[in-house]
Amino acid sequence: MSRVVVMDLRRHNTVLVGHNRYFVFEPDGRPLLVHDRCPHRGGPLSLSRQTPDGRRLVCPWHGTKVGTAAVKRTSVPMVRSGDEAVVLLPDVADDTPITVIHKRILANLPPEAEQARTEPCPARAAGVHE
Amino acid sequence: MTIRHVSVPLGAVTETLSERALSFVRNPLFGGDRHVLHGPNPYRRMLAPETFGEIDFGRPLTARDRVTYRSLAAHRLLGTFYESETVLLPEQGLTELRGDFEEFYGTGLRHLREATISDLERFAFDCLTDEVDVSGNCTVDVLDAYFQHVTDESEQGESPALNAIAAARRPEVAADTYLVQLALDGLTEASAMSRNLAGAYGPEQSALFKIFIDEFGYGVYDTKHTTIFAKMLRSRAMATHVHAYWNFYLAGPLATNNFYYYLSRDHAKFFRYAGAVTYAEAVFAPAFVKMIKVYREIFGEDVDLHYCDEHAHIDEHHGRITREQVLLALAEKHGPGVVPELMRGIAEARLVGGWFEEDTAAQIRWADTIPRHRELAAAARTGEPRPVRASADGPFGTRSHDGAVVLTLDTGEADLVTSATGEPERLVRGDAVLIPAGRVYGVKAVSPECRYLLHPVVDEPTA
Repeated sequence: MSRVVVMDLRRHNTVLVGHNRYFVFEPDGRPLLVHDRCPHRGGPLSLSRQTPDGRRLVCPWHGTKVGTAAVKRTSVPMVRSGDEAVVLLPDVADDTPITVIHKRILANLPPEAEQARTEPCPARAAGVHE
Repeated sequence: MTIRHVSVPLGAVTETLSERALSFVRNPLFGGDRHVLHGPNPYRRMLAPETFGEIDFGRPLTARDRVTYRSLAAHRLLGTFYESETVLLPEQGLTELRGDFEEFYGTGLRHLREATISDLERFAFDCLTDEVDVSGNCTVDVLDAYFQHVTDESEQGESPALNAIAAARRPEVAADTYLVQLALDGLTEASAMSRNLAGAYGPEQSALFKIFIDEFGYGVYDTKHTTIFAKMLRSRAMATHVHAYWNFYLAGPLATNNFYYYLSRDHAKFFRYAGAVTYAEAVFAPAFVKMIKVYREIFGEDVDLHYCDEHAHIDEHHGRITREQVLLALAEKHGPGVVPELMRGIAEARLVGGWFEEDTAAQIRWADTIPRHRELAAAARTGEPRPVRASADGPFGTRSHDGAVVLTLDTGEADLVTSATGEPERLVRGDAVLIPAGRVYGVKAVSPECRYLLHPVVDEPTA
């Protein structure tokens, strides 16, 4: 039987299950609870940034690029209704500690480099000529 | 063989949802009459055509809109569409109502309805796509764990509406308001379910049919659930015909009732329906146990609760049958591809069930505290008013507003009607009442004519 965790998405975005960590990833604006672990050496993908095309995450440890599709495939069962998420964790022992917390998630930020490269400077955007 | 070509007026397909809805509600069947309750004529129901011009159908409802007037008007219309696809005949016979019968089911309204219903469904229920997500690798075990979690939560949780009844100053009126909301489904019970009985889908179809025949009293009219629901209403000296209390149905309960029609009208949504009905059947039994307790405390033995007893008993079986023989059986048989849909149906039923409860509780609390809302009207800061005229012989209708308003009687005398069975609040010139956003009310002129002003509230005092 699955363990059930209820999470208020306005307050929490990370679930700690024993030694495993999951974070709320919103690649298409819809929240998924995905494994916070780079497949290379286990780096924290929640602290990764998106590549300029938004299709991959760059792990902060070794710069490994992980496709968002692959990250999405690690998502654990979750039912969101409004701001409430019911997380269902299959095969988790009853005595495994589970904690719900809030931490900074960089993986949901827009691609930084892309913004810097493509956004016009404010003066030009406003039509001011030098 | 001769092929007859039927020409479809171009306008019927090019008109906007708003225009089609307006064409429908302008039919004389839907203009209302001077009575507060509807007479025993299932074809006539007040859809307040004069207010449809103010409704923006271009902007679909969101979950935040659930008690707005847009939502109330849209769900009244959608509910009428759905019931037009069921057989409604008046208890007293059709003789006097033959014309209304032919108009209600006739070609003109049917074409309009068919041209409108899908767009209106999208308008009303697309918000569920934003409100509910099911993600991750959902297996049958995960489905069952989710189902057990939400049904346990419901059984152990509180009912806001029943709590509001228990806390009310006039608990009898509050209890009647709850019965009115149940009457929407109670008088036509299992009509939506009937849409999913046809076809061929194996043992799960037979399991659903077992529930259906319970609802229909095994073919014995006296034991049909609608019959025993009417008995409960009669014990409260309430009307039992469809839909005497139309003017008092709230947006949340209307949306809840429509939700099951919405899922069962389109068989692509069958698995969502299966999830939703399983959830509903499982939570009904404990909900009716709670209802019996509250109603016995208020009325003692002076209310017929056979309907609640029946549900408290039979829905334990229905909860088990739907879980084991419909929900889990469908998941096992049709594989992981359908599990998210089943879970979505459960989550959506849980969500809209909450709308029913919250809206009903809010209406009960407001209707029970009108003197307090007179005081609040005096303290509220308001904007430019809009005048409304009413006459004693004019059609009576109810409505709500998207934001709070202060209603001030400007000329004449009128009754402010906020519940189906409670004494209305008499208003004389200069009287003012604060009507919170979403609360349903009607103004019945007592003098031959009256005029009242609706002031939008800019700064609402705390209730």
